[in-house]
Amino acid sequence: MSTQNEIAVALEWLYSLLSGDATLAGIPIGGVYRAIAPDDAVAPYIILQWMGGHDVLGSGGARIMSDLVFQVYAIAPSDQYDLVRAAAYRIDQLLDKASGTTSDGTVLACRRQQPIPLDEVVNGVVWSRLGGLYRTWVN
Amino acid sequence: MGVSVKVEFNHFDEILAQLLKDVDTQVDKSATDIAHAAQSMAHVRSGGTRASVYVVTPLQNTYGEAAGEASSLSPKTPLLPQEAPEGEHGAVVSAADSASVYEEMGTRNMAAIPFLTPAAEGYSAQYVQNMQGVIDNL
Repeated sequence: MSTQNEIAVALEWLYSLLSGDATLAGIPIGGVYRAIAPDDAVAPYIILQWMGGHDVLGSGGARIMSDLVFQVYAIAPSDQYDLVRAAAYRIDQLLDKASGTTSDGTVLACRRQQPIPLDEVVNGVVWSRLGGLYRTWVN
Repeated sequence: MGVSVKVEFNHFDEILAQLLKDVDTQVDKSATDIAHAAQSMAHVRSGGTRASVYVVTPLQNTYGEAAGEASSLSPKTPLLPQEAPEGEHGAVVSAADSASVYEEMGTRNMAAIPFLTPAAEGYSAQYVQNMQGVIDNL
């Protein structure tokens, strides 16, 4: 059983896996951030965003694990889309069907449930993201 | 001399019709519950995103009503077209306000404030339980 909130366990696992990967570092990505990147972050970078989830209860209402969904994506101005695409591919290689532990809990499994593309205009420049919604089971 | 009576029943058509009717009712109820939860979680600026949450189920379609209300609250925000459910017994819970995409998913300059996904996730176990009830009541 986790000794921390399961969302924190999952985020720690995601951050550790992605920020420690040599392939992503070689693209290169400018960092891995939770929810939003600082203004001076170097693109492309990776965002981890909790999207929703629910607890899985067993007999007597005991919490067995948490079923959590995260949005994980690379984002950059669209003229760096090749780097965004490479990062998104590597993210999926690392996360889909993966599992692991942190000092506070266990990510039993992680599966991508939906790919995510999204474009937006920031100060007249198109920024593109590519990634996915990843479902994790954590205890 | 013996007498035998053979009675044959075939109520499969009635059973199937009732099953699909009950499924539609539960899908409609779950979609409505999820929409209400999403509205309660939606970040409110003008109220357009909250008002634009709609459901399309086998029993109802609230897109027009939601889009109209969102337009009156946020007249400058474009509306997204209505999403269609997958299959005749499926449902959609979505938001017509185009700004809702960025609210749900975040932007370069704003962290996401998801309201549709957590609403759906919160009802997933209840939905499975409700569908089990449909089977149990056959």
